[in-house]
Amino acid sequence: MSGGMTMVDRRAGLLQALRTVLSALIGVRHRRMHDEDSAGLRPIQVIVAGVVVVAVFVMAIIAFVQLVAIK
Amino acid sequence: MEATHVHGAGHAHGDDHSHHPKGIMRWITTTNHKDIGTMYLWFSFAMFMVGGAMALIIRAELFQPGLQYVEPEFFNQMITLHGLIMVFGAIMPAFVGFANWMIPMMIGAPDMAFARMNNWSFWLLPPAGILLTASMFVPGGAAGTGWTLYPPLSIQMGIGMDMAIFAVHILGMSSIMGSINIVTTILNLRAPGMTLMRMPMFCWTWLITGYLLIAVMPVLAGAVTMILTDRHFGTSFFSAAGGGDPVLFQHIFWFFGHPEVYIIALPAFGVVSHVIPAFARKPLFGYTSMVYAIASIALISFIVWAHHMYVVGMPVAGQLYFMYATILIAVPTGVKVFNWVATMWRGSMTFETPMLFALGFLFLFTIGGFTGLVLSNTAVDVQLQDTYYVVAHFHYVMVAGALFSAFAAVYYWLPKWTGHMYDETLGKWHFWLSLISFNIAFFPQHFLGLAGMPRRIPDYALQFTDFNQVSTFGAFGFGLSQLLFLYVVLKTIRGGEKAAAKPWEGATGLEWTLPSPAPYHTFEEPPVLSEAKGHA
Ligand code: HEM
Ligand SMILES: [Cu+2]
Repeated sequence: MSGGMTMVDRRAGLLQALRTVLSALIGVRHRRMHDEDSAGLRPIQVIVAGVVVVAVFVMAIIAFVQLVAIK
Repeated sequence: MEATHVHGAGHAHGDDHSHHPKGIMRWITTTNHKDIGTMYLWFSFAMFMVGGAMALIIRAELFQPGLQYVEPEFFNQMITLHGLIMVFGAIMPAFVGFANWMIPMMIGAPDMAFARMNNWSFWLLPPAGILLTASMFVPGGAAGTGWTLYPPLSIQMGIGMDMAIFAVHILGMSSIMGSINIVTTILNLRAPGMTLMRMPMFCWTWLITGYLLIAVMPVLAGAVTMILTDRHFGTSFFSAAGGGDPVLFQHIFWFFGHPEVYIIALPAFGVVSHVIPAFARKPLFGYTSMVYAIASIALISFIVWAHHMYVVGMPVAGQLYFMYATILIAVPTGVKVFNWVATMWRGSMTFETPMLFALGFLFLFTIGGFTGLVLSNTAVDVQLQDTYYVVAHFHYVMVAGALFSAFAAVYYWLPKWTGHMYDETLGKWHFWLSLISFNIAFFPQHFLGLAGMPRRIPDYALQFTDFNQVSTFGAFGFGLSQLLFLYVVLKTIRGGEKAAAKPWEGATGLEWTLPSPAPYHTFEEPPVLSEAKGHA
């Protein structure tokens, strides 16, 4: 458990949460990388990151659709 | 709370409480998770038989072109009731039954968190089942809309439609209470030392399914309530004549409907994730990525619903969005298949009946996933929408997927429930007969759909005859094979070779540390977890 409140720690937490969620979307991952990332991650971080990633995912598809569907 | 907690560890295991009601009252008043699990499973099987009889009426009528046995109106009622009963009455309660039986034993809990609510969750089901079946006999007959209950038809039908709406309400309440119970049990009653990431996969899939149910059952309840008020209280949510929009219903329904297919699929994934490692004698490949992938499958199941509505008139941008989203989310689902295959890789496998059903699941669910991908292509779906191709797709995922996984679960856990081994030879017969007849029944439906045969129609053009006859032949074979299943289960309950506490060499988990049959009360004192007894 990190539990530290310094800027560095929190940024790392965000990055790890994002990496965890992105690899979940693909579906496979090395155990070692998973263990590294999940040390110190709280469930709420992963859930928030998951919702954010899905929102970004939806917007990215919409943007891509705008691109290809332009008359 | 429960008397069981007061008695403590010194109390002899067994159902010999003097204050315990006997006979029928035992079942009506029970708060025991094993009793309730048993009732769920028998209810599910009864509904499976009722829904199955309806399917055979449908298939009998479709054996030949023209109308032979039933009126078109009655045919539509059979289509509707078959769908509603199988989804809400057979498959969903079956997996809630497994959850009731197994989750407390898997996590080392004495019972479900809300034992009395558990009783109520179950006892809501029979009235709903009765409402649905009785609606056939009221004036105007049962709902004839299909299980999707689309307006305007659902606004026009007779009292049978109201009965279906109330049945859906009741079933929804039962599901919501059941899932609150499961989620709370998993989050609060785990034995000390069983962290979430050491929890058996079946519990994980049910935890996520529980959240999905809590999220979408109220949406369905809202949709059918709006139909009810449109029918009787002068509103016009879905009636164009009053300024409403029938397409709105489809959006609401499928916002429930697509997550619903994962509500059905995820616990099935959970079962297979126990059976395959047990009979490959290897731990599940990629446990943690499986957990995360299942969570993300659940989350993104909310953003693809309109792939069921490609032909109702969406802007091209909408069609493209839902097509891309649907295709992309098939990736994590496909990877699950990879996980199970990798689990078997170089395992020392044996092929007892649970494993056979799990492998049947693996092969046929994959076919269903592929046809889903085909359908998710808008341009293709414009041709295939509402044809027998769709019928084939969802029977591959729901019957060969969820139902086969439920069979695997029954054979896998039956020794724990009854204390007897089932008859392996008959179990294998059940598997092979089911597998072959299932494919005879449903594979030709792909061809029928590609050739343009519409679904939900009692008559068809002559050129579809041959494949329909093959399909009907297979359907009756599949139906009859299930009587063999009933016989095997009854035979196991009545006797048979004594089952060991852990009848499967490769099985892991707390449930196998208990004697077979599992005593009426288990884990009144939380078990002490050794390193090895973490997850399956
Ligand atoms: C790879 C995953 C899947 C994809 C891409 C997919 C895609 C689709 C699409 C596009 C349709 C609409 C077809 C149409 O109406 O024209 C459909 C229908 C359906 N799918 Fe799937 N599906 C997938 C998995 C599943 C699973 C796991 C289940 C259930 C366990 C399921 C159950 C159904 C049902 C019940 C319908 C028909 C609903 C109705 O109109 O009555 N699907 N699927
Ligand atoms: Cu869908």
